[in-house]
Amino acid sequence: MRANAEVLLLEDDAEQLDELRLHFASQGFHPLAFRSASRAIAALRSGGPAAQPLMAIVDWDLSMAPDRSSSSTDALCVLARDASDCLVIVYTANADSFRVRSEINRAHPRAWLHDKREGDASLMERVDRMLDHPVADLRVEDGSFVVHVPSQDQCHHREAVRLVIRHPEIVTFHSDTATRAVRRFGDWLARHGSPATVVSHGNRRYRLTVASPEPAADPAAPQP
Amino acid sequence: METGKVTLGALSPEHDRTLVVVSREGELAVGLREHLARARVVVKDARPEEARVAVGSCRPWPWMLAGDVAELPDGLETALTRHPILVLWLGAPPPGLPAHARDLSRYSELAAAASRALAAEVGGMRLAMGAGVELPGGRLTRTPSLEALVSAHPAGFNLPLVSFGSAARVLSRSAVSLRPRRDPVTGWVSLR
Repeated sequence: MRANAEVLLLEDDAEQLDELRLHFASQGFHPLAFRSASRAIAALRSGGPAAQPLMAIVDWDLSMAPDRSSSSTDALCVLARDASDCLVIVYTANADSFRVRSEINRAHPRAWLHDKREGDASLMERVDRMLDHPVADLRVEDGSFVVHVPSQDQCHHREAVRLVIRHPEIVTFHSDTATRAVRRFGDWLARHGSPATVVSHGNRRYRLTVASPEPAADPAAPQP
Repeated sequence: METGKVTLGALSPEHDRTLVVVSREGELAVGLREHLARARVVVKDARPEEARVAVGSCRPWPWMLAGDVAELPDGLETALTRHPILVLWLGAPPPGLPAHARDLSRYSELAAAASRALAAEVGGMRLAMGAGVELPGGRLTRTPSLEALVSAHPAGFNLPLVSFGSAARVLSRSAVSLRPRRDPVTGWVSLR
């Protein structure tokens, strides 16, 4: 049995939030949907399943939120500090404004930016691309487990999924349990003869590296 | 500095390689963040009044400081005279910057200099993804002073040789023949 990976969704428009929720549920994720930043922050700080989501999709403009006591900036700051292993995408209709881009960078220096004017389908495609990109002989299925393609063996550690979808970035993990899972994933890769290996950078920071030449471009980067 | 209840992500503790960008409007930081490979460096976008906290949040110190403000914000001079931090400045450099700081007149020159520093390779050493230096043979070392020397090569730092003790120790245990050495004329320390 395996748990579906949590995706935190923060979108003030109820209809759009439903679309996102349906999309992620259909992809095998466990969507945690919020219309206001204060609720999302409370969930992130609850220590429950929403505390360490695999991914977060954040609408920058929350002017229609039912509770505006906290902003998207607040939510991004909490994600940056307390859930730094979470892949974060911020979408905004003002992506051309350097002031908006600066505010987003300041709130979460690692967040990816997506232009809302390109439509929801574009966002979903972007997310799917980020989750689907293979690393050496590994790929992620349903955001929930890593498959070693030649043997079709599966590794169900959530931390393994984080390392693959964040490749080649360093990922900071938050508990000894998580770092033990990372080390077990490293052993699993070695047993399968994968060219991918886990590298420790200390302070619970790890990244996945590939023995053959690394990809020249980041596959998660926006398409030209 | 805080958004009311939470600390800005740009001011939160960071152990990966960081570039702190100090500007009044943030345009320089946005440009650099979008120009540089994010897997290699985290760009912290700071206003002058936040600069001291932003620099202090980088553990153990920032890899690079960039800016375009006319005055060096309070609290930075001490960090810059104690640690090998690369410094790139757009426009006239403010008083207080170390002698090894580079001032550049155009954004494109500054961005290119930052890219070159990230991609530097010397004696078979290069910056690893995210943090640290890959030594010949692929071994990883987390030695910020060596990271600084590799990035600055062939230039160096106007700092005491003792600031590079950990880099010298790592190199003495490796197959690399280069060492941090003080130039007898300029007094700068570089890999030679």
